Amino acid sequence: MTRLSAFCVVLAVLASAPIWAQATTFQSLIEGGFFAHAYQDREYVHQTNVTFGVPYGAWGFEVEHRDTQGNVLGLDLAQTIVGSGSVDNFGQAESQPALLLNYGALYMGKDWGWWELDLGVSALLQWQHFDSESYLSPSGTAVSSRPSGMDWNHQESFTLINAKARFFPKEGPHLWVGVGRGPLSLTEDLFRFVGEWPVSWGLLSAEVSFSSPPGYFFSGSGVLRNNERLSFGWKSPGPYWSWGARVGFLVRPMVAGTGEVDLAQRWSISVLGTVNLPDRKKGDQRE
Amino acid sequence: MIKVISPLLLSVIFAGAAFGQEILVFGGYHTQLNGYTDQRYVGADKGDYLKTFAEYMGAEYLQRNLVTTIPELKDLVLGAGLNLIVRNEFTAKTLYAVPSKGIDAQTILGDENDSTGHFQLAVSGFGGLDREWWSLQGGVTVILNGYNEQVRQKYDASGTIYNDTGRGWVFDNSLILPNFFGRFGPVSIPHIELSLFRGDYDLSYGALMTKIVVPIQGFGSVNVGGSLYQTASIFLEPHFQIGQFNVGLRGGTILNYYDSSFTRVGIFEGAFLAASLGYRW
Repeated sequence: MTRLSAFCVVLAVLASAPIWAQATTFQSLIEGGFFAHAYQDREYVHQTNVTFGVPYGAWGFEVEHRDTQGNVLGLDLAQTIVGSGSVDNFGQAESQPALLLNYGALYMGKDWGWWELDLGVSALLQWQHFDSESYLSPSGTAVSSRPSGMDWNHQESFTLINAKARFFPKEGPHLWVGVGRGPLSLTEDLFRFVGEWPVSWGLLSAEVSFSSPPGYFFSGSGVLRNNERLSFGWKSPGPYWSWGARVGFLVRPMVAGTGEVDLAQRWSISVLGTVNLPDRKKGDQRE
Repeated sequence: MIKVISPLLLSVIFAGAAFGQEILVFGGYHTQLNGYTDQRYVGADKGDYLKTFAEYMGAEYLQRNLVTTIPELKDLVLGAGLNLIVRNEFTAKTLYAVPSKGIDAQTILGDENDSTGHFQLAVSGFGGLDREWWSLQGGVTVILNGYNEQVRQKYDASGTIYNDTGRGWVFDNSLILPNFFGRFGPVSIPHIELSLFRGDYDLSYGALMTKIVVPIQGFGSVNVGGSLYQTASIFLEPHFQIGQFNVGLRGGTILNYYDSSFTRVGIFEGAFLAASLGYRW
C-alpha cells in the first residue's frame, strides 16, 4: 500500500505542471554501412529482384534548447553520401549513381512531461551524379549537350513537416515516433519508432525504421522513401556528455528498389555522441 | 548560444489578441515552367521545359474582437482574402525533325489551350478561433482561372484548319476549394503555422505552406518555411516590426515540381522572391 501511495505521488508530481531544467543539448551521429540498389536479375525467366551494395556514410547532429516551461526549439542538420557502383546483369550494366543527400530541419515543440510534441519544417535536397547527356542532331547523330557530374535532382528533393511525439517521461522507459528528427542517416532514419530505456549503466534504445506511407504504394521516383531497418543502441551514462554505438539490420531496402540483400550487406554501425549544456541560472535547475 | 535563445523562449507574453484588425498586402514572382517530352534527348531523361515569369499580388483582411459579450466567442476571427497571379506568355518553341530516328518536327506551345496569357484570381472567406496556444481557421476559396484567347482554330468547309479570332479574356476551369490556417504555439515564442490558400501564398506554386516563426524581440521575426503543394519549396523570410507595421521579405527555391519533366532545373529558374506589408490596429 505504501509503495502504491508512493507511486501515485510520483505520478501526480510528473503529471503536474513540470519545471524543466533549462538546457541545450547537442547530439551527433556518424554511421557507415551498405546501400542496396535493386534490379531484376535477367538470368531468371520470372521476376527476381536482387540487389548489390555500395558503401554509404552518414553524419548528422541535432541542437535542441529547452526552457523552464518545457518549450523546445531545435535544429537538425544531416548529410548522407552514397557511393557509386555497377554490376553486370548478363550483358546489361546496372548502376547506382553517387548520391549526396543534404537535410536541414527547424522545429519547435512543447514538453508536457508525460508526453511531448515537436513540429517543424524540413528540406531534403538530393544531389546525384548524372551521366553526360546527348541530344540528336537533325541528321540523327548524338551531340553532347551536358557533361557528366553532380547535379541537383529535383524529383528526389522534398519539403516536409518534421514531427516527433514522445510518450511517457524521459526519465523512465519511453517511446517516440519521429519524421525527419534526431541525428539521422537520410536513407535509413527518416520515419521511425524508437523505444528508449535509461538504466544505471546508460541509455538503451531499440528503433524500427519504416518507409513513408506513400512509399508502400508507389515505387517510382518522386516519392519520399526510406529503408526499413531494425537497430539497437546504447549510450554511456553521464550528466554532461556521453557516447554510444548503434547496430542496424536492414530488413527491407526501399530507397533504390526492393530485392534480396546479402546478409553481410545488411548491417550498419553508428557512433553516437551527446553533449548536455545545462543553464546555471538560479532557480532553473530541477533538483 | 543559451543566452541568445533563452529570451525567445522565456518571454511567454501572448500578444495575439492585442489588436483588433489586421491587413496584409503582398506580392512576389517565380519562374513558371511548362514541361514537355523531347525525344531528341538520347538518355532516359527526356524532360525539358519552357519558362516565363509569373507575378502575384494580393491582400488579406482579418477582424478580431467581433463578439465581446459571449466568452466562448471572444477569440473568434473572421476575414477575407484576394490573390491574383498573372503568368507571362510562354514563347513557343519549334523542335526539328530527325527522320533517321522517326521523330517528326514539333511545336511546343505554352500549353494546350493557352499560349497567349493566363491569370488566376482567388477570393477567400474564412473564420475560426485564435487562442493563445493554437489557432484553427477554415473557409472557402473560389479560384477563377482565366486566359486570353487570341486565336481559335476552326475547320473550314473543306476540312482545313485555319486560325479564327479568339474570344479574348475568358474564364476557364473555375473551382471552389477549402482554405485552412492552423497555428501551434503562442505567437510570442517560436511556433509553427500550416496554411492552405491563406496569408501571403503563391497561388500557382505554393498554396499549401508551412512556416516556423521565430520571434525576436525588438526586431520582428525570422521565419523558415516551405510549400508542400503545388511545388515543394523552402524559403527564408525575415520580418521587420516597425511600430504597427510589419515588413516581410521572402527568398527561396523550389525543390520539387512533382513533374517528371523537371529532373534538373537551373538554380535561378527555381528561385522566387516575395514581399509583404502588414498593418495592425
